[in-house]
Amino acid sequence: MFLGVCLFFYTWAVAEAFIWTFDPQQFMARYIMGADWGVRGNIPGARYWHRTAEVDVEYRINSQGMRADLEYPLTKPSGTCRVGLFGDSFFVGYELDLKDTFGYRLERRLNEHGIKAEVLNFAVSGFGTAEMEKTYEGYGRRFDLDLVLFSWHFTDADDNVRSNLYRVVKGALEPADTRYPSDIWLHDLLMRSAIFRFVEDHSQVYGFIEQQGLPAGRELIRRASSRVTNVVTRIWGRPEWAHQPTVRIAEGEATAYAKQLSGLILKFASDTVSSDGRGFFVVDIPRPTSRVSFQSGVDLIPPDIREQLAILSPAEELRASANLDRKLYYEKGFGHFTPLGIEALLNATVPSIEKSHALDVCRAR
Amino acid sequence: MLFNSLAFAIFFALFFPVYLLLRGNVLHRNLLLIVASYVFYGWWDPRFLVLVAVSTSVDYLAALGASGRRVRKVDRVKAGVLLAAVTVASAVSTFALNLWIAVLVLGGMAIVAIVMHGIDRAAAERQRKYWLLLSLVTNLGILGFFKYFNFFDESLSDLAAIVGIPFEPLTFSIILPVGLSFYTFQAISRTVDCYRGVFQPAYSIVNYAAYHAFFPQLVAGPIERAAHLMPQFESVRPLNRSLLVTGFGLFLWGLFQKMVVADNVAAIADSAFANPSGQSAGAMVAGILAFTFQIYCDFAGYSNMARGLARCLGFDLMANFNLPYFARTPSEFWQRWHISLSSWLRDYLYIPLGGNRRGTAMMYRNLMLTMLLGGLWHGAGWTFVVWGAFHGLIQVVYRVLRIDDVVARADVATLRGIGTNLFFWFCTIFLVTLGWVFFRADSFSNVVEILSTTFGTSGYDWATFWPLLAYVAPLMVAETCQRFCNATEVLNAGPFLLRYTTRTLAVLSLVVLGAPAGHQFIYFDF
Repeated sequence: MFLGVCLFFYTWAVAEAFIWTFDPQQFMARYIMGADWGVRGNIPGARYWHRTAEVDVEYRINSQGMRADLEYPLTKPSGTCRVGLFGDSFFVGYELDLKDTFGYRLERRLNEHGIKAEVLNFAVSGFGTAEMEKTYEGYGRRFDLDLVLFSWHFTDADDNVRSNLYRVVKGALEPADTRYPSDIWLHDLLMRSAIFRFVEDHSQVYGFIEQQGLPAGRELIRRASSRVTNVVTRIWGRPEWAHQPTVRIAEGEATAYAKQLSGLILKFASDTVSSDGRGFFVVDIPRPTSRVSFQSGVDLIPPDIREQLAILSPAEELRASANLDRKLYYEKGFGHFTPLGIEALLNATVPSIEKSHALDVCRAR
Repeated sequence: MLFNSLAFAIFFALFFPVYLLLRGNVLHRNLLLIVASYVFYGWWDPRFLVLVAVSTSVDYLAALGASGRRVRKVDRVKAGVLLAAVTVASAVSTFALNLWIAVLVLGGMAIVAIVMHGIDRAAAERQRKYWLLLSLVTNLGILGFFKYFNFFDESLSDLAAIVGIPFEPLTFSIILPVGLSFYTFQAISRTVDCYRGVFQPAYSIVNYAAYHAFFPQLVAGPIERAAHLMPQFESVRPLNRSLLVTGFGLFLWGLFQKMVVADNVAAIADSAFANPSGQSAGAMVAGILAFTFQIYCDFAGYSNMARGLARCLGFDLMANFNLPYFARTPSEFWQRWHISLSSWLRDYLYIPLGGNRRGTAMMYRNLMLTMLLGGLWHGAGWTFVVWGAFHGLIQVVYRVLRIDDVVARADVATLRGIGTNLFFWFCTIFLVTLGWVFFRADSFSNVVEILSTTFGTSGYDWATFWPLLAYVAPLMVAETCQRFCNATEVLNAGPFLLRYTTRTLAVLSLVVLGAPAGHQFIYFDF
């Protein structure tokens, strides 16, 4: 038994040294937990770091699960508008200091332009549209928001199918599972342990497994389940309600079902927010294909739904400000916006946001 | 299916427990091995299972006859049943019912039956020779058609064009069945050994069919000798923890050679050879060196995986590589490289041609012929023939200059001896690497383009060679240890902690550094 334990730690040490030498991992721990409204949320009060070849960033999460250095009362100050950001790691501001994040700079820009506004960041890394919608309904609503921004990234199509929080039945959106992911309780349990957090933040082995091993394993399972589903479908046919496996096509693409589902969720979110009397925008997060070319994810939204949404895309702004010597997205880390990229995003979105009638009550006279 | 594939992992995971249950009974074990081997081979293309069955059936009978044993009616029926069963299975398993396969096989069976009838009626003293001829014609006929028909057809057309004779080549789209060169040679060697009286065949077709189709070595060798491998199929093989662990270690080393070294340096080689004139001199040299290690690790890796798998089943396959890049002369190189083929060529071609027994000139002739045909075995192309001729030529030159003797006499305990060894080692490596250019190139003009690119001083920098060195250096360290510490199996050598550490490092290398997109084994094309 003792020998086994010694061997385990010896193996771990060898593996740490090996990976550190040949394929040093970049640490991008996600301090997230299961939230009361059925999806994930940032761990309140968490403080953690991300270190890559390009950045060394600290994240501070307030007691309300938002990336912020202050707390927000449920009732907003008089004469102040609130903008709620619902999105994934791009809206969280991964690989950026707080002062460089979209939310922080949007608030500053609006205030500079005479709109007294607070930007509340409800974004959580890994979110898809379904989770954003659940977070708005279950939590964001309480904060008396005036304007809601949902991010849209091409990975959201895949995430929406995988989460199975909603599905498409006979062309209509239907709620499905009430909780995602179902095994978040395990992560919550582990995150209570300081040893686990230390390992997550510093271990090369853990980083390798999380960043490369798990996705490879998921892809394998996805391919296997896709093959099984295809065989079953060939024999018995596929019922419309059966959720389609997310088959990875090409980067930046999505299956027809994923597109349809995502479009319906976006429309549902837009209708929900609008019926609450709030403004709603979808902020496109393009995918860089090189330093000077970018692929908008807007094309993945079905055209008929696209026409009904207020979509803000920085694709043109990015192309205008791009050149080969300038990084608008980080390249050695996890591909998030650089401060220059955020600048382009702001330039593309702020004019439309400023004009939104949802912020009329907060404009300086 | 490739050894380094998920399909094979699942296949072996299903096969092995059943094997453990049945291995105590020779008949049941061999039947399982036959089924598993045919599934393994048929995974690539079930139509070509028929060729394996044809070679098995004909050689089963031919070996009996060539050894002087009576080929009974029941033996012919057994061979026929095996062939018929495989033909039906093959035709049915391809979704478009390839009934033409059955028609062809029926026709072939009829021809063979007629030939056998003719042999039966021949004079007794000639029958053994005719049985041997039947094996040779069948195996070389299959090999000749599938591998060389288009090559000779096109070459004839080119020659006719040169002399001004109109000749339209026949155009057949012929697929080269995987492993054809290997299993036909293995079958021929057994029949020849039976004819020579070196080996006595048994009447069990099950044992022979299992030997012939044994999946670890079916598609890329080693080309085994009947005297070494056949007895293992006629007895229960001991299997213990040590064999399993060392077999796994050998398999793991082969996997490392293939997935970490060969598949990663392949990208460097492919890039250089795809556009030689667009490379700097240094990059072209790096590409040639990359291919030198790619082909070695690809093939040696496969052989080690095959041996490791076989050992896990209790079987012993011959070592096919013995640190060939430590050779100090071309002769020594061929004693270390693809040992099963070089010994096959020596025993079944070089020696029957006369070897070195008919004078120096004949020896050189026989050497050249053997190496020429050895080159042709590797591929249906003139570049392969020239590669073989090149190796024959350098061996002849070394013999003329008596360099082998100089090296053999060099005393490694002295500085002079060490210097001599190093010098001739460098010369041999240089020549062998040069030879690989012919092997890898598409054509002679491509060879000229590649070699002319290497002249120059551009591109000789750390950035050009570092990617190659990063993958090759660990291999070189390990093999240097093998060479000078007498550790033949690097992951199975030394005390427990050393073995554990090297195996852990090998696994980590596979997981962390294994090439993302695997390459087919190079020798599958031969």
